[in-house]
Amino acid sequence: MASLKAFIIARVLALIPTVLILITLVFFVMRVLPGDPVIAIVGMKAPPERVIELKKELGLMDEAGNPIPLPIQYLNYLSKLARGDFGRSLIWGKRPVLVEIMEHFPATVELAIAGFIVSIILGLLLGSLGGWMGGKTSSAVKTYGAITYALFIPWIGMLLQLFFAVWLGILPVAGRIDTGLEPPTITGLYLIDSVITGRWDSFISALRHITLPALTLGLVISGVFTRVTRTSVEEVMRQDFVVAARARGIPEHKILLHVLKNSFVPILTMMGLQLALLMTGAVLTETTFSWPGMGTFLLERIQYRDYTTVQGTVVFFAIIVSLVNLIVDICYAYIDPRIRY
Amino acid sequence: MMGKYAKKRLAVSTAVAAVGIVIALIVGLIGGYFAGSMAAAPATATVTVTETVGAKTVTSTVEKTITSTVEKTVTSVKTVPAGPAVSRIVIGVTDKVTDIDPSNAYDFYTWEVLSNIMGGLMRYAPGTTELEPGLATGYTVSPDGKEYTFRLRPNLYFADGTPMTAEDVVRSVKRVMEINGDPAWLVTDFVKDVVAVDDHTVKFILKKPVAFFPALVATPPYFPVHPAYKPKEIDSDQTAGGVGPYRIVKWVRDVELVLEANPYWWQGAPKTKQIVIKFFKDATALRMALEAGEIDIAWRTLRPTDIQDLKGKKGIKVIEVPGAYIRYIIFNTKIPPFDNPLVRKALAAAVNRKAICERVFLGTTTPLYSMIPIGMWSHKDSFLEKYGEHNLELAKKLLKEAGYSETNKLKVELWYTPTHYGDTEVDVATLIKEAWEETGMVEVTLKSAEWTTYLEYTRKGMLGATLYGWYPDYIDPDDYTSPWVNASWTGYAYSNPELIKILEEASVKPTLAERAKLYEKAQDIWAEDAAIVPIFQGKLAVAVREGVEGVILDPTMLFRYWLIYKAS
Amino acid sequence: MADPLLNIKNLKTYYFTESGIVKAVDDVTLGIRRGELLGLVGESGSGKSTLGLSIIRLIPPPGKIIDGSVLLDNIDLMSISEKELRRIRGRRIGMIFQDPLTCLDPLRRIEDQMVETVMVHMDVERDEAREMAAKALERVGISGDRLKDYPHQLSGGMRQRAMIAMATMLHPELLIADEPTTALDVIVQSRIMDLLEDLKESMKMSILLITHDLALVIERADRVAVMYAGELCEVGTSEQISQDPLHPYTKLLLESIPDVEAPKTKLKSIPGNPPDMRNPPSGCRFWPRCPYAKDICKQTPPKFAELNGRIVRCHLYGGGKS
Repeated sequence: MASLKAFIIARVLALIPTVLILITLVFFVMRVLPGDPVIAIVGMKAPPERVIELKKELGLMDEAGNPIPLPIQYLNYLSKLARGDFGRSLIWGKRPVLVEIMEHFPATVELAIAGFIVSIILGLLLGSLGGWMGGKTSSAVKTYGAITYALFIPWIGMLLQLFFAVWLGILPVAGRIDTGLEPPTITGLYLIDSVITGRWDSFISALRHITLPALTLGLVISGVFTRVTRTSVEEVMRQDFVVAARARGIPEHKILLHVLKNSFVPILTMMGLQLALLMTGAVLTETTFSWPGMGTFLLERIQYRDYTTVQGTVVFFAIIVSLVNLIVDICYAYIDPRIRY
Repeated sequence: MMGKYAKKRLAVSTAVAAVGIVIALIVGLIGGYFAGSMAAAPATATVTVTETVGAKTVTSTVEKTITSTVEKTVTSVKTVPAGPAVSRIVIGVTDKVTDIDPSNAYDFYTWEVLSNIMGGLMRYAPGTTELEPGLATGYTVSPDGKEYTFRLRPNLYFADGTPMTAEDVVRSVKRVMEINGDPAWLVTDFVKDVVAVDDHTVKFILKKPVAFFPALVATPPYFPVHPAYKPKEIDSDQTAGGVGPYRIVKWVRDVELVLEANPYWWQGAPKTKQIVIKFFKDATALRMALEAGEIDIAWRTLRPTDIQDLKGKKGIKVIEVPGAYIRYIIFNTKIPPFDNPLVRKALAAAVNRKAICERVFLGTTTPLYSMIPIGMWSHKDSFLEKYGEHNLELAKKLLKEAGYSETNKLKVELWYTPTHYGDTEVDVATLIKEAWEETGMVEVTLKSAEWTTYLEYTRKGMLGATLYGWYPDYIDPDDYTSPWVNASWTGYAYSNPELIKILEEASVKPTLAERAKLYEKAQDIWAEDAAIVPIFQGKLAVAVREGVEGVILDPTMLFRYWLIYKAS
Repeated sequence: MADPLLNIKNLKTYYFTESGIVKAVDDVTLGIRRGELLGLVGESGSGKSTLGLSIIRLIPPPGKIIDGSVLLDNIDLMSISEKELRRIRGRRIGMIFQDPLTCLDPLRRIEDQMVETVMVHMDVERDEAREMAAKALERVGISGDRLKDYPHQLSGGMRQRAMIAMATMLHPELLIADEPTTALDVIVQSRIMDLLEDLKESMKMSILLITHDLALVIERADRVAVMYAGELCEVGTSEQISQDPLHPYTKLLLESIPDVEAPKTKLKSIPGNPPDMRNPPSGCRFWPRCPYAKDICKQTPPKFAELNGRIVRCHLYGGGKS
């Protein structure tokens, strides 16, 4: 496994150029986009002097009032970043970007994990059902996959809200937890923190709040998992070792387990790729359920041309996504002995 | 024969499906159980709350809770459990709080929050646009109109029991001037200096006579703030507040804000002990939360369709009043064809305001014929008098005079911004286009730009006709007139020396009667020039669950939490 | 027939495809004797593999066994329950396949796959099962410490040995070997065949060797059955088949075997193509390619005839009369 260690180190190093390219892209794209962030910040009523003043403050203009060229701004930004300084938000009290990210990130992680679990349960169950049964079941599962994939999150979210919250009144419409029940922060994930600290009322409240958003997100992503699982199971089912196992008298339920394990590599790949979908899904889910996460936060800051926050967030995400993909790769190696680095 | 084999497969997959159903059942059962347990939860929590909040207990404990909540908002858990039903009201909003700091907050919703956790020397009497004494008992003006002296109420305290004196007013106002944030101009444009004459007397020395200065003093930049606010920088998450009916006990940005009655408020304790603001990101969820009973009040901003729907719902009350929010078209008088007054007048005459209010906003807005809104003193329907409503005959006549005809059509671009004013904006623009084209002599191209771009282009004077909206800074006709005249942000779209003179005069005249006369005249000139054409005025709508009383709204658009209560 | 182990009687296995019914095994009757190596030869698509899979009812959909019986010691494998059949598979009848790489679960160690098989059939502890697996491996010439290996860590020949070890570890009475050496090179081929013969002797096991390679069968098998287009053509001892083939198809097959001693001679191949199995020729299925075809061959399917203790299905040998 020493080679695996080398692989991890190589992957982490490979992360640096990836992130650098992303930073550069985001930096320039944000500035090429029409729309002056300064005007977005000060609003329409501000006098011109105030605009100039703010530009100086943001490092867009030097003291003499001349605009600082983009390449210099870029270098300034990089040197700050290298020192671990993500900068401060351009708007609302100029709060440190890292603080803002950390305020919103745990909520998204919690929702993403919950949605992921729902989608994997649904996807694996239905997908293996379809792949195993074949025929009409397979077609039905195929249709399910297509429909859920095309579902519009605000729409399905609203239906769930209407049904479970307004009509039945058993689950809350929006929010993350009931007022005053927040558990002490340890991981920032309410479900976990409340269990660690043994605050069951908090746990129940958090669970009730996360049910509908997780279901919505999970349902939509489950389509992809269902499809991948189904095709993958079908493919593995066609492989000789299944017949060979049957010829040895291995019972079907054991064979299903082996088939699932073999189907899992493509599913795992899909899981890594789904992160992006999960993020876009999270934006809409978070909006629908007023979930205080990263998705809505980032979207809002893009609209305000909050350069530093958007840049910081993207860099942050690049690192997270790369880390997750690294974990996925390590999982491959763990599941499939043929893969060794 | 081989059917058995298929059967086996079926058995396996049925088992898989069964597992799924079992999981679903468990989730359902748990959900049901939670629903049951939640109903029971608040009842058990009641006792603790009444004990901690009930009486004006020892000062030190109050201080402690405040400082601990300020530093670690998230850890302030056990202190604020579900309160007794009657003394707690939950308000849902889709707005957000920017900086809980009057030195930089410059948006309506944050001003509302500030008005509930702080107070000004002057304030508006609830339900009116009239000023009344707030922290001050009254004021005197020097004969030259350049010095305003306010006398403070005796025994004013911040929410933690710290006494408030004239020095705090001076410190706070100077802090706003020093930080020079977004709303600072409300101070710096007018105030030269502010001094504490004694502990209970504050004197403002102005740069020039300002007739509406008491209205300015009622705005948040003039609110005295707690000494805990950082003296020289914006303190966006500072929860110490000022001298107001409530104090912040918990603040989780974009999630919720919990306010508790300030035991030291000069007017006595508000009716409702605890106000919880829940921040929504979606208007539909806001509406559903009201229907589900998760919130007692759905405040800014419900969609027009939701308001219509909620009006018929049992157990829900919708309250509407005219708001101080106005919408208008800016014609840039430097860009052809809008440099021609005849064109501007013709377009002003053709606008179909009623159709916009009824079709797009389902009656949640009112047609407006002057920049000074309905309900404010000196308001005059100048545009209606001059051009009428949707007056196509007049429009055609004016267009002909300007040299246009059915064959030689006037070609114009109308710009709008798609999201900043809500998703209804494209409909507003479309109806204006339709009304103009109804003359048969105009061809309109609709163009849109995203908000920041829109502002930038406008500022640079690149757009001919644009749609904008206005929330007032201070409730005075001056705030509905001077910001457009010779203004950089409109790209200097409109300038009229006569008007400038009248407005300047109106802003310094000390008596209301004199000022009103001048503003009436200004409105007529405004309509004659037709450079900036009012379209409609917003209505404020709030939906509350039955039993919620004391909702008083007025054009200031600030919800006064200290007046609301639950009847039962 | 002396001491039959397995009797296949009138077995019919059809594939119900969308473009038509494929009669892959059509009315095949064949016996396998105890301790013999029976070679089943045919071109690809002749239905020989289907026959092998039909014996233990592993026909994948859309295939279906339509009729017939397969008796193993008077137990009809076609009518017992799936559960009962599962106790026979791997225990009394083992099976190995062409490609040992794809027939082993790539994600699990050899050991786990073998131990699983033992534990499914026998009530033994894991350790005991592991010992049995190690022994079985050693029996096929692989050292027991390779148990911990994954399939991809073994060479092709070793993998096939492992497969054989897995299939024979519970001492089955019959081993169905479907093209066990096709994927291997010539030297490994013969070693594997030696191994199979050794196991046959030491375990007193019957082997059904399914292959397209007539030369191999003649060299190794006790008896040979030739299959064409889903039907049996002829069954006889290796000697009979090689020295005195009766059926024209067998004759042509023999002629097409390359002569190792005289490599320069031109290879003869059978003229024509195998029939479209969805729509086979009427009469004898071989007539379009048969040099001796007569009118009767085109109209009437021939019946089996016994000739000097041999079985052949051809109008040339009086197969015409019922």
